This record gives sequence, structure tokens and C-alpha cells, in this order.
Amino acid sequence: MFGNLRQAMTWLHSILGLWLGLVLLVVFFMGSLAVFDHELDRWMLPATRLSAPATAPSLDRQVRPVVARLTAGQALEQWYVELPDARVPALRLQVWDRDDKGTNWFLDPRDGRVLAHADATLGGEFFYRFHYTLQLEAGQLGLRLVGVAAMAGLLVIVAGLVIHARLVKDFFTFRPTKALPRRLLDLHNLSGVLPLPFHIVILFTGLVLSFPGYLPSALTSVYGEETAAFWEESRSLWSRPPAEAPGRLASLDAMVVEAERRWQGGAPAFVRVWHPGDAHAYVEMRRSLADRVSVDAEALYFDGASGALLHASQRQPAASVFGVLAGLHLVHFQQPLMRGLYFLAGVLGCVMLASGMWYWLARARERQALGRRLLTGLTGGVIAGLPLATLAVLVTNRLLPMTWSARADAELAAFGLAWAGALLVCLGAAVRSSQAQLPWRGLCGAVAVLAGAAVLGNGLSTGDWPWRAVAAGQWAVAGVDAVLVLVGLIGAGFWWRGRRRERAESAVVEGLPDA
Amino acid sequence: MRELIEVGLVLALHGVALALLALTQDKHARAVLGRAVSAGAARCRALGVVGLALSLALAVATRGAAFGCLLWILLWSLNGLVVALLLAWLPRGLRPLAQRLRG
Repeated sequence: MFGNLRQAMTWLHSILGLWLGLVLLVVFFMGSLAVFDHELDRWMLPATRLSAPATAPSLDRQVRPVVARLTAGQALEQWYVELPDARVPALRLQVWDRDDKGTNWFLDPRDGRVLAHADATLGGEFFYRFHYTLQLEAGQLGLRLVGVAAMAGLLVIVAGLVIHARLVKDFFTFRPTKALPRRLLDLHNLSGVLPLPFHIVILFTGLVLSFPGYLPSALTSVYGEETAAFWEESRSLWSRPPAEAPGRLASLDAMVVEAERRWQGGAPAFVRVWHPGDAHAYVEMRRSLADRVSVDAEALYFDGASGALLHASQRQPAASVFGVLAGLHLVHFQQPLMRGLYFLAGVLGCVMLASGMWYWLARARERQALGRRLLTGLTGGVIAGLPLATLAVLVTNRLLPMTWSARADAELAAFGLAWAGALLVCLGAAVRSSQAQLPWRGLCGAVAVLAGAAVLGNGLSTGDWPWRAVAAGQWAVAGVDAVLVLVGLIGAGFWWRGRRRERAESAVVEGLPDA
Repeated sequence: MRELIEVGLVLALHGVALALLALTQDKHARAVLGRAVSAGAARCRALGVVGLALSLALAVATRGAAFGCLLWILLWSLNGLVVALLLAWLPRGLRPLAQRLRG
């Protein structure tokens, strides 16, 4: 079928790349946003833009009275408090009653005040979940699609390396003055080769991370339906049933001190009190992942009444390796520069996918079949739809009042409408025009307008203009604004260039002598 | 602050090393200097490789093995992009570096 290896690899690269590239583009885009999910939360939830407390809050004096007040008299299965850190200044409190019904609050760590409307948004969580579920939860369809795309992605990368004849020679080559297909290919090679190790690692660790979704039999053959037992064993978790007799709770702060001693400086990320008020109450603490790659959180369990250590988790070797691989993908560590580099490499991944697909379509333009034109429209709709839909969420978030209960739904609707709009515009244009010309100029203009509206909306509704956010040390808000301004400028730049070119073209047409 | 200086040093060293490696290629050297650096190409390459190795060593020494390696690998994206875009749009920006190598 193929004359040589290179031809076979070209076929594989273009077929798999074209179809699953669209899925991977969505995954890379959302994943890049998810790197800054907490920062997006700060931007989308002004109530949580608190300045970090100077000292860690006392659990005994500041948290326990609040829990007692909020849950007065209720029998609880557990309560759980996420301690504030550099990225999340608010304290998150979760309470589960005996019927497994959970309630969520966000508290100001300085005074224990409950923050109003602190979860009235899709928030960064939306982008994080979209990244691996594609919002297709039924039958784990999204997760499986992402898995297939990631496996194909690894193959496509290998095929791409075989095709790329001048990998070293063209390592730094980008020629913006060449014709469009060549320019796109340069861009594709550049953005594919530079972050290549990152792309391989991120695709592989993403697959490893969700292995129960892709290789469920590895789990069910040993554990049957009891998959929870697998997670308990692999993470070396510990539990005990309640005694159904009243008991007291010793000092939580003392347990934190003991935990920090055992972790040699590591801080607790959360504290969970199981069976509070029971004689068999016990306290679970996990280490913060802020200063390590691995997601091994080294759980510690203390006896509630005495504060004595009951169990310290110890991962088996395979689970430790899994912890490092998962950590490489999940980036729980809090190093702003490293997160920024993850974001850049993710964005380069988007550029690689978009330019690759566009290169193929630009070259195949001479073949004017309707199917090809539809594919062009679909690809354009995804490339333009992703930023437009994301910006629509942010603008909606700043336009609607915080007190409105259906805010998150409205944001989701804006996301869907913006994306559907972009798809329709692109498909319509591709079908109408024989050259499958897409209205890039208008789409870039829309991106610029929405990005500007988001920055303006944030400034007007909260007073946190970018310069004020910098002055107040609100780096999350300032950072999101800075990216929005950059995106707006890029969009406006392309719009301006398109306008100049269109004017030049129409001037040429008008200047032609009548035939 | 200390983290910023350490990472900044690694970043600068890695970036200069990548730029040196780019300058060993005739087409890039021509864009920057108007001619090839054929005489100094071997030295340029050696310096670039040493610079890359040093930046990795510095990253590991200051940020630990795990974060050091991760930082170094991710820096290829940032610095490679900067060098490629400089060569495309502002090759003069690399001229001071290239001229210093001539002597």
C-alpha cells in the first residue's frame, strides 16, 4: 500500500491527526486553562479575593467554633477543612451528615466569617473537568474519547518525528514572510518540536492517571466490584467505624504540630475529622503538595480523644511511581514560574494542533468536495470557538449579579451559545464560499472585543483594575487580566491586519481598468 | 526573591546556550551577521552544549533533582520560542552575542 515508511507515517499522521486533533485541541486548551484553575476562581469569585493571612489559622480557636455553629446539634459522618495556601486564600469547609449529604462553605480564615456567594460560578473547576470529560459524562464517553485521542496522539508524535526530515536543521526555523502553507508548517514544526518531551509526558501521564477508565479489567479482575478497596490499599488509607458512644476531641492544633514534625516542615493541606463527637472519632491529615512533584500526600491518622498517632500511610513502590506520574500531570505544586511554563507548553500544543490541521486543509484546498469544506468549517469552528466560548463565560460572569442563583447555568449557556455561534458561522462560510474561506477577521475582532469586555467588566464591577490588583498583591486577578489583555491585543492585531489586506485588495480591484 | 534570581540565572544561561546553538547554523548566522560564522562554528557549538549542561546542573543544584529537571525541560519551549521569534522578526537582537564570539 505504501512505497516506504515515510509515506506510511505521513498517512497515519494526517488521518489520526486530523480527526483526533480536534479532540486533542479541546483537551490541550482546557488543560492549559486548568493549570490556573484556582487563579480563575479568584477572578470569577470576587468574594474570595482575600489577602493571605499572616499566620496559619488556629483550628481549635478559629475553625471549631464555626463548625459547631454551622452544624449545631447535627450528627455528622465527618467534617473537612481545606487550609488556605498561596493560591487559595479562603478556607473551605465541608460537612457530611450521616445520610452522606454534603454541604460546602467558604470562610475568611482571619475571622471565620462565611463568605457569601463564594461558589456562584462555574469557576476554574469547569475548565478542569471539561479537560478530561469534554462535558460528556454519560457512559464516560468524554473520558474514553480523550483516552483514544491521547493514545492516537502518542502515535501521531512518533509518526511526525519520522516525517520531519530536518528536525535539527529546522529546529529554530520560522519564516513569517513565506506563503501560508509553508508558514503554517514552520509553526507546526516549531511548536511541535520545542515542547516535545512535555507533550509525550503529558499524554502518557494523562493516560496513566485515568487508567481505571481505559483498563478497568486490571482493577476488576483483582478487586471485583470493590474498586474503592483498591484506592484505599494503594494510598494506604485507614478507617474505623464509630463506637456509637459520646467522646471528646483533643486539640487539633497539637496534631498539626505533630504532623509538621513528622513531615519535616511539610504543611497540612486538609484536616478531616471522622465521626466527630463519637468516642471513636479520628482525625485524618494530608500533607500539602505545594513543594513536591508527587501527589503522595502522606496521610496521617490521629486518635480524636487522645491525639495519638494511629496510622501513617506508606505507599508501595508501584503506587509511589504512580504518584510521581500523576503529579507531573496534575501540577499541584505551587511554583508560579513552573505553572507558567506548563501553560506555555500547553498553549504551544494548541498552536501545534491548530497549525497542523490548518496546514493540511490549506494544502487540500484545491480539492473542493463538500466534505472537505465541511471539515474546514468544523476545524475553524473549534479553533475559534474555544477562545470565544471561554471569553463568553468570563464576560457573563462579570455581567450578572453575584446574588443571582442561576449564575453558573447562565455561564454554561453562554459557553454553549458562543461555541455554537462560532461553529455555525464557520460552517456556513465554508459551505457558501467555494474557496472555503472563513471569516477570520470577524472572529478575531470578536475575540478582541470579548477579552476587552472581560477586563473592563472586572474593573467596573469590583474596582480591581489590573494596576490596583498588582498594588494589592492580587496576583491571580492581575495575571488573568494580563492574559486577557494579551489575547485581546493579538485578536485586535489580526483584525487590523485583515482589514488592511482587504482594503489593499479592494483598491487593486477598483483600480483595474474596465474590460 | 532568591527563587526568582536562581530561576532567572538558569533561564538566561539556557537561553544564551540555545542562541549559540542556533548561530552555528549558517542560515541563522547569515540572518544575524550577514555571513556565516564558519570559523567559530565549532567553538560556538561547544559553548552552547556546555551552557546547556551548566544550566541543567544549576537547575538541579538550586531547585532539586525533580523540579530542576522539570524546569530545564520546560525551558526549551520558552527559550526556543524566543530564539526562533528573534531570528524571524528581530535578528539584530542576537547580534551582540554573535559579535562577541567572533574575536
